[in-house]
Amino acid sequence: MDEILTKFNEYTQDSYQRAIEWKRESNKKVIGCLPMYCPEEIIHASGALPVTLFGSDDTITMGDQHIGYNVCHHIRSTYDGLLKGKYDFLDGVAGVHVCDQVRFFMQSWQLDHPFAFFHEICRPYKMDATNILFLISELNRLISALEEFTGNLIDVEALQKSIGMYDRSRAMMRHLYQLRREQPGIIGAQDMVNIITSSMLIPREEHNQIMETLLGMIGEKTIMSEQRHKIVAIGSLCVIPDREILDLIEEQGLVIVDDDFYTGGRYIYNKIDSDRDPIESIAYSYMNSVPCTTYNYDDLGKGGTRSHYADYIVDMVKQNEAEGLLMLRVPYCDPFDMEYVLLKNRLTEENIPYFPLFYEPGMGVSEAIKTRVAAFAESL
Amino acid sequence: MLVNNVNTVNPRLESQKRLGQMLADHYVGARELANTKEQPIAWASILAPTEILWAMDFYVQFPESYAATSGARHVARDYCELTERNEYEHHLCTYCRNHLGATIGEINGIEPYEGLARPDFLLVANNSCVLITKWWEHLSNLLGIPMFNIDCPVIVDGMDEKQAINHVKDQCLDLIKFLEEFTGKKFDNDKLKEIVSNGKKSAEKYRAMLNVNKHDPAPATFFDLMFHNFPNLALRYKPEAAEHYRLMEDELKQRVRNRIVPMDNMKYRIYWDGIPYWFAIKNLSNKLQSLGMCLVTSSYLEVFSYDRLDPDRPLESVAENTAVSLFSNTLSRKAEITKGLVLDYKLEGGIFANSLSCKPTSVPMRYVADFLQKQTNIPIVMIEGDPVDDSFYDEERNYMKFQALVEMLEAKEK
Amino acid sequence: MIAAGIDVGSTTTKVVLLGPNGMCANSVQATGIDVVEATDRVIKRSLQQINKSFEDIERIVSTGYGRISIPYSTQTITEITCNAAGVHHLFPEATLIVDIGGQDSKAIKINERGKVLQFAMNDKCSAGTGKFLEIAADTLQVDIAELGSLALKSSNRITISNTCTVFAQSEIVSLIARKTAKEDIAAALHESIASRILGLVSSVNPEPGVGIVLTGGVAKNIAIVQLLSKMLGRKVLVPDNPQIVTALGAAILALNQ
Repeated sequence: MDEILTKFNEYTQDSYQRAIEWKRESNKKVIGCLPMYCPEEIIHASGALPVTLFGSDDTITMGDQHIGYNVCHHIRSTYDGLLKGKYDFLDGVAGVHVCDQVRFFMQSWQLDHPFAFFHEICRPYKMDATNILFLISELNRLISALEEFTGNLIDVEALQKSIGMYDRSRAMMRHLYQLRREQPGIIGAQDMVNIITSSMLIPREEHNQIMETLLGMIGEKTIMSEQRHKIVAIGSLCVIPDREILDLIEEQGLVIVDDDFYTGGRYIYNKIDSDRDPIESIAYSYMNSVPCTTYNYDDLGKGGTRSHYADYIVDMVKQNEAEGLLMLRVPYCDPFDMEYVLLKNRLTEENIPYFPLFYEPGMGVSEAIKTRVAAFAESL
Repeated sequence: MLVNNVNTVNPRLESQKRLGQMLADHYVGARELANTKEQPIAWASILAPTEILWAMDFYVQFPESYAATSGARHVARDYCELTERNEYEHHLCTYCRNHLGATIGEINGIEPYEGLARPDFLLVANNSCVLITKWWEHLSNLLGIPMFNIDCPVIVDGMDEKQAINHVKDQCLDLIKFLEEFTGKKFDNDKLKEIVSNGKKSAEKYRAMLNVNKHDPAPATFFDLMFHNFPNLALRYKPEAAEHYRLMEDELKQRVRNRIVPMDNMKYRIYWDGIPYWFAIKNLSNKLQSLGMCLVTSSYLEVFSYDRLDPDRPLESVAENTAVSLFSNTLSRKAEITKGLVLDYKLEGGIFANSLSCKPTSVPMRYVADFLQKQTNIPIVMIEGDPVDDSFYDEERNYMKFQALVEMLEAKEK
Repeated sequence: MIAAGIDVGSTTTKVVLLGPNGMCANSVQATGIDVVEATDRVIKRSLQQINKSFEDIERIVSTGYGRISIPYSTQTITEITCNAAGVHHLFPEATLIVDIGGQDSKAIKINERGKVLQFAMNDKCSAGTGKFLEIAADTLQVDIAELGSLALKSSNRITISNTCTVFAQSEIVSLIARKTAKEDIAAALHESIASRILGLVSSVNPEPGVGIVLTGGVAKNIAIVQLLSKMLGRKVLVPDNPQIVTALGAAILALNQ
């Protein structure tokens, strides 16, 4: 099993190695997907490989000057990588408008460094009966654009096949999460992140195969009962949470039993209902997705909004019987930073201990971070 | 371009007095209604389909506009700081934090925090940005009142504009349905038509007024004109708005005829990009004047044009006005509009005022500046600051950049 | 006729005196907290070199952050324009300048007549500046003048992950505690600075292949020069006295008034 975990770690560290190889082997197209929520199933159905672009730990030297330093790390890092030729292997780029920064970033990107295929998906921020219709038309627009670009027809059959495969993938990852819930520590937090992240970087067919093997092995494993404090971890939207910090957390007397990382719970808990027309299914999976800080909930007629996200997180903590909540916060994230205020109020109401741990991706573990994590662990 | 000594300098516009009165009346009117409850009150975002609210007899206030007032009164830093004590991050939009701070302060009875009159309903459109919907969510949560968001897609290349407009119109119909239930009144389409008709006149007069500043020498500076977005924003539903602009257009034309200019030392015609730094206008004006730079116009003024209103298709044109705006369009369109302004107004240099807490304007700003420089060859400097919070503002540094701009302009002449 | 250029920086104040035969004197001193006092001191030193008095100076241009505080200057011009004038005088073919000062760094694009076309500054952060090196030298307990040659001795490439001067300091300390070689730390710090400069240069849309002229106190550091050349893929020219180029430009502009 260690071999498999090492493989997942390699795929995550050397993010595009496999995609570049695959492109050479298959002579097909690779399309970079900006996080979050890019409909990989549709891209896959066109015959191209969707690869998520996460930014990296490399020092940002050019990104700041061109896009501004008051912008989230994921964007600065991705732009930096773009300027340094890191994405030259891509045939195209697609992304969903999840926030203000990503939306303007995408527009700047296409103007400064045009790609033959560059597609912005205008996902509504509010999901109701009216808006879902627009989302469906947006998904159809993506399909037409992909058909033109790849020359491949994306019919119902192709979509169903792709959806089936990605759904199987998420189901397996959910199963793994359940195993971890039952036996905290059976898989380390860093390994778990590597598993989910690598699924977005290599062909899903290959990832599914490895996952099946892994689940076979891990199903037989039992570990000693856990003495560490159980916690839920959230935050780090659009970036891969710093894996050194995850290791640190689990070395300091804490064990992560569930999470809301995009390279984690946020990605796997979304199911696509296979009973309907595939495009509608995908659209409804957005509507019914786990609450996200990048959505807007106006709760009409209920006398004022409440934070659906806060409800979701509080539920997660309770269902996992976790003792506390650790937030791995990256600076300059507008959606999370706004939601945080409502979230912390709820957590205080519910007497759930929490800690907002700010970190700068790529900086690794500093004394300051060590102290904070240790202090939080001691407080539980 | 140099001003000969036939011109008279008069920095004051008569129209400013009239505007001041309209502003005061608007705020006072709201406060009175909060007591008498004769009309329900709503808060709306600047590019929302506010006509619908006016047609249902709501008195509408604009929290974003409040930011400008707070900045000018120098209370914004305190309001923002209050939110920081509540763990709102420093980088978050200061328009939002200024207003949230004032509202939280007022609710908690913290003197002398004073917000806008308490509303009954919140309307927002995310065509200017997405953060504003979060801002409205927090208000809805704080005040326990309903909010409605009109979700506006960015009209990207490959998307049909008509589709976006129809989508917004569908949501407007949803809004009307909700408001009918909420107020117990039926929506009056005739009233909407009248309101849209007034709005169209106001928009046309606004445009005519702005156009007078194309004249060289300009009869007013951008800083003089920018406050006058208020009638179009908040009062276009009634004839007073168009009337204000008609009088103002006359005043500007008269200044042109009588060779009255807003400042002495008018050497260079300059473009301003970005949201004005409301708390620093006087100092900025003085500095720019000492350097001979006259700010003539800005794409900021375009935001308030509301130029799609058409009484022959009332609801559809309101939807179009909301769906198709400077912000909900592509960056390349914004860049072209900026270039158009520079060429139209014959501008010689550009000051790009980066507002660090406003991501929609700051993220693409460098692209627009670069585009402009390449296309028009005018020298450009970028300064940093914020519309309301002076903790982002380094005056020395910005003044040095103004001077560098003048030096580049002088070098061009030689 | 003597013209004076005064560059009042936050760390050092520089004065250049220009006579009929070109530069006749120059001096660099720490600014301290009293900008006027510092300027007086530096002018005095310069005048002593040519045995002249203050009254012999006919025109003075002051530049730099403290430029408006100098009561006797005949004109104040920004350091951007002055730097460009100074570089153009020394290297008439130059079109791209990088200036790394005590507290800020700049990239300036100029035309064939030495006029500024575009510029970019990093003013929010001291990580790409002389201040960073100063603190590094201090923490490594090495003379700032020796820091560059120390870095060149490195054979083991490591990275300093902290781009913030303040946090870099504690990172250096922990690296030393882990017995990392000083030269390797020094090399990593230099790379950190050089890489900050890359973004500045690209943001002024330079012509490809064109070399840069490097000015400012940090230009005396050979490791920076080598690294910049390598990382930018451009030739790097350094004037004999890079720290006074801006003051020289100010003096030239004073002369041409």
